[in-house]
Amino acid sequence: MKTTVSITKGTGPKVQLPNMDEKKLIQACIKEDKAAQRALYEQFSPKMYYICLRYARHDMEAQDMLQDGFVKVFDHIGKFKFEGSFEGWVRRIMVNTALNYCRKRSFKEEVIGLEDYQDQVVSSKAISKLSEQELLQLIQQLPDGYRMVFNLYVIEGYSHKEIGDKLGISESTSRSQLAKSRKWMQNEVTKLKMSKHV
Amino acid sequence: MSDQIEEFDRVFREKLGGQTAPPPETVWENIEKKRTYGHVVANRVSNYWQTFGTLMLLLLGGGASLFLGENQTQPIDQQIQSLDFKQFENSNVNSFQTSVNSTDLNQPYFSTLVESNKVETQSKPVSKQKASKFNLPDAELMASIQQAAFSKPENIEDQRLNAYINVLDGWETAKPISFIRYDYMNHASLQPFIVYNKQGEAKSADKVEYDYVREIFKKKTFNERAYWYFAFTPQSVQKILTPEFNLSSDYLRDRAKAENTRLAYTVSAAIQYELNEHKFFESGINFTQIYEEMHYEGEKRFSNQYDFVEIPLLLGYKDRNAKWGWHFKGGLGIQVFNNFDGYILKKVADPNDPSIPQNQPEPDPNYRMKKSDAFINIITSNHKLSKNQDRRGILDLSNEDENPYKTAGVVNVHMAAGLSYHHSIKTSFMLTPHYSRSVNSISKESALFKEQISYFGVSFGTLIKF
Repeated sequence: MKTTVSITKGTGPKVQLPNMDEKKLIQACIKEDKAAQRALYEQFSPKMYYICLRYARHDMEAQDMLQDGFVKVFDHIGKFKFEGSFEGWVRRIMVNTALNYCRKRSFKEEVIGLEDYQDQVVSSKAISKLSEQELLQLIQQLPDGYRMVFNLYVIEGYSHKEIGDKLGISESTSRSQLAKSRKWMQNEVTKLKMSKHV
Repeated sequence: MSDQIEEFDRVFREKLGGQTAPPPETVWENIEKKRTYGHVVANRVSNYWQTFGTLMLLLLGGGASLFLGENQTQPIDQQIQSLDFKQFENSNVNSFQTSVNSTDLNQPYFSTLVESNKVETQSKPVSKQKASKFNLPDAELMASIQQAAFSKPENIEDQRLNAYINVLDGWETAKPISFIRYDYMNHASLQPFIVYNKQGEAKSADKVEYDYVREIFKKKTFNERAYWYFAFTPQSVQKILTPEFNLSSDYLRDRAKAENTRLAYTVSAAIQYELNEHKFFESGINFTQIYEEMHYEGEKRFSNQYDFVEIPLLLGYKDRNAKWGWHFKGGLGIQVFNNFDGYILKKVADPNDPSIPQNQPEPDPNYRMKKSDAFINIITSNHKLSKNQDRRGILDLSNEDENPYKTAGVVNVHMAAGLSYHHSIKTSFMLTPHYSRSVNSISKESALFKEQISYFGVSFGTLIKF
């Protein structure tokens, strides 16, 4: 028997969403079925929003990224070949949309001033004691270029070559930005730890 | 140390990798607002472009068959038989007599003659409108013919018209009507038109009673309907670059700066086939070449070459008077073969990358490729890099793996309108401003950008009758 999930919109009436399997849902989205689009959005938006939060400087920017990303998903969904994971496909679009957002701000001009920072390695225990929210804030404080490289390499698992191709930079630049962002974050973790002790 | 770094990364990956956060409801509302009706329609068209394209071709084909069918619903012989020639002739004799009053013609000498004995004058009558549609050239042409054919030789500017006019250029309305000067009726070449008396003797000119002679209508053959059309069109080219969802617009900006079209032209060879008096279908081959100058690494410059072979499918409308005419045409063209040679930028110049030279000078707006260099490039197809240019920063268009462009399958839409000068029955010259633009992207699906090309040029063409 077909079941339905009820979703309440903020101000509007209740929307009955069909509980379809993923392929049917995608096919319905290709046909511009509004209910299917909404169902797809409900299914993927929490994960994707968190991805955007990692790339954005603040919530509002993440929401813009999510919004643009989903517009692209719905515009290009006809190009999905039903080969491989659909979530992976949506995720790539979100990441690329986020990267474009950051690039618009000419991140290439940004440089982290690391002159006063010491070469210290913070133990993983100290980092693991930090909450997800604190780690997210740390990432969000990174300058755009560094944040992109950090996200792509550490969390998304891209290689430096792939990052270079995606961002239009060389592998060596990607490596150097990653090293600098790690160093900067370790110093920030130390500061945070110290402030907590105080 | 590296273990510690890995541990550091692992903590971030595990803690942040699979997290979720519900976005505010406003995001969905904004998505709905942003995806307007036009957005949705455009998306549907792009999702179903193959169906859409097929439909367009069918419509075009359907349109052509309608054009073709317009004059073929009734066989021409039946049309002739259904005409009341007497009625038609009377109507013309009246106008003819009016027009010849000013000349020295002796009117009683002329009356109507239908040359063919196949035509039954007692056939069922048809309206004057229908008759005139079939049988009359335009009024101006008719008047000039009458003037020439029935005036005194010394009053005729063109002495060749003294003899006779038995073929008129034009469509079916004009061609079948033949005029013969009355005082040349005994000329041997006019045998088919000479009226014999009952005894089989040719009447002398002053005894012949006719004013014009008409051949039986014939359906135009392919050769009579078809023309060769040759044209040369210098083009002004504009590239329309759109980044895919995963490409920075910086890249396209850099490309737009780097690529400068220096020469673009199209050579066309086509057959223009008249569907009826005004409408025509045109198809053949267009060969377009684009040469561009590429600014890469400051002073180093080289040229790119794009070759496109296209089959146009155009429908048109034309009209003319004796010497001048106008026409317009439009339709689709399908690129069946594209060849690319040269290089385009691969990615955004990175100031942190020591392998890419820094402080690249802006392209010199006054720079023009030397004519001799351009000529040598074109003749030798030399579009290679210099030794000093870094191969890593660019895509080699002649390498299939790197070339982001399609080698076929681009559809162009064409629109053109212009003037024609009818030099002779065989030859006309056309001057036709022409706009075309690619409907779909010339780049492959896998490319990170969409690229369309729009062309604007003026065609210098010649139309030669088969």
